[in-house]
Amino acid sequence: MRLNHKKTAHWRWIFVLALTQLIILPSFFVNQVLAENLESDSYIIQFGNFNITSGEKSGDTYTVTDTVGQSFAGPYGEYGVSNYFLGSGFQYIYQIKPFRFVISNTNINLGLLTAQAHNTAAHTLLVNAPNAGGYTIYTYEAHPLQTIDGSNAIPDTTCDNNDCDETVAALWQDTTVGGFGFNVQGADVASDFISSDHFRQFANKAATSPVEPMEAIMSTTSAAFERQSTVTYKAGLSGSEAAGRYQTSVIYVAVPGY
Amino acid sequence: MIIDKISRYLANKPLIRAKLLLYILLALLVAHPSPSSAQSVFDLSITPPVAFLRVRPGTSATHIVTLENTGQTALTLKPKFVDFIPNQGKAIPQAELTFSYLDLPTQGFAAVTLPPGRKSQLSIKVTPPRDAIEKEYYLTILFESVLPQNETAAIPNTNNSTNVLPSIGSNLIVLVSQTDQDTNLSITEFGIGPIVDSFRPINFSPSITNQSIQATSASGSAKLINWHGDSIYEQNIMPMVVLGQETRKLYGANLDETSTNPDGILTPIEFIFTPKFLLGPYQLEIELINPDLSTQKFQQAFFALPISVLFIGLIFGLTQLAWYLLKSRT
Repeated sequence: MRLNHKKTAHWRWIFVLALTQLIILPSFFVNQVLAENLESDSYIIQFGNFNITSGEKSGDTYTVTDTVGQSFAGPYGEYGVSNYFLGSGFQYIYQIKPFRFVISNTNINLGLLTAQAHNTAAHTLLVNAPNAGGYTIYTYEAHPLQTIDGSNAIPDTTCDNNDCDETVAALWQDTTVGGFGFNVQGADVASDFISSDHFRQFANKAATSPVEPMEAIMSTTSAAFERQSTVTYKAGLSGSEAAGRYQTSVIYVAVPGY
Repeated sequence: MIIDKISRYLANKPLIRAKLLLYILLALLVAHPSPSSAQSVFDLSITPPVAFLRVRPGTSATHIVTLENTGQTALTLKPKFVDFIPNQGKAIPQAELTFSYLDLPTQGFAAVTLPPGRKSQLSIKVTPPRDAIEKEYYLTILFESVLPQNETAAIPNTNNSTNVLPSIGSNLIVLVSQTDQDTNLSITEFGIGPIVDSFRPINFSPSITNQSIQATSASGSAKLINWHGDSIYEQNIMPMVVLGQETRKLYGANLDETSTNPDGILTPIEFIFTPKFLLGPYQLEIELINPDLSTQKFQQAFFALPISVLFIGLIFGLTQLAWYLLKSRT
């Protein structure tokens, strides 16, 4: 009887503790990601939901956008007042609509590399750029795939015929040719990605001679809605690389046009 | 009381206890995803994509950028200001910032975490001194995602991996000037020769130059006019921003109704006119609409001639001449 009572008390505490965990822990985790408000004389990073007075006014042949506040005004004038963008009977430059950039996965796992084989992994890029200037997505790598201590590296691919680099894609199908590269297929993609077998090197930020500036992979100069592409990463060993875990960081920079 | 009852009930049901424990553990795992997978999707919006700010020397103006985490996972971001080089409507961010009139924190910006569904604003003050050079400056405000320390833990140690670090930018065009500058747009190149072939499509690619130091918009239309004064071709110009001292190629505007945007979108097209036959003097007229809705016209005359027919005639004439010369010598 006493043993049973002990058992009951034991399970009661487990049950209470588990419930407590279920209730309290989520708020604990939320607190961990809550942002801080940063403020100084010169800048403020403020969190919260903001209602910015803005909108569109439609006519028979045009739509104008307007905002309240200086920061969202058109070229040195207010939208809907200065008529800066009323051209040819219609207004279409929506500078106040948000520019959105989505990457479906930011952890690319290329698996265990073996000689005479290529491993691939992919993610999608999605851009919404309703402003008339369009957008450009640039990319570069922090350095080629290398071991954490930097002592060994898998060089960037030069493709099947030694004819690709960070500026131009070329065919890369031969599994005896090792290296690291990427392909992009989809909307507004650079024209050198002729097929899904055409690969480029990433521009190498660590390169000094010559310096490799980041390269555009998606671009348009007109408004863009839900433009999507798929980036495929490919890596392979040429046979001389030391065993180990190779890694790098790939940076994507999405900027609107003007 | 209820807890006591449940505890007593569970004490005599080992199988149910085990199942309940398993459910609780599973629930905890689902409720608290591991930090390593927390930033696997990047989904961020920024407003405005482009902003134009005029500041008088000796005064200050404030610019606000709004970020919204439109995804399901928290994003850790760090603001960075860089110059951009304008190139035909594209902004090419540079590594450094040369614009020195921003009140930036001396210690730099700290990385901040934006929870899913939340918005944040970055407010920045531009303060050019009284003796600042009157000029237009081009900046990009980048928000770079920062890799948490434990991010790579998601990938097995034996595997090769790539961390993807996205950045999103907002362009800021700052005009440091005491006054609004006058608009001064001109067509500096018509992109059409003095003679065109009567049998071939007419293709022209005009360029516009903004002589002012301040950005303005260019819009209007391009026409081909025959010697009667009738318009034989007319095309709206794709509206665009032309920055101070910039030269941009003009395009025609085509309404693409197949776009996912319900209103369609304007896309740039080349100016191409495919006539059946042209002959004689013509004019290319480009009419620009100024911000005050006044217009200005730029004209370029050209001749349409049947070049292929004339070429055949020329060859025939030269052959005849050669025959005549040979005959006269012999």
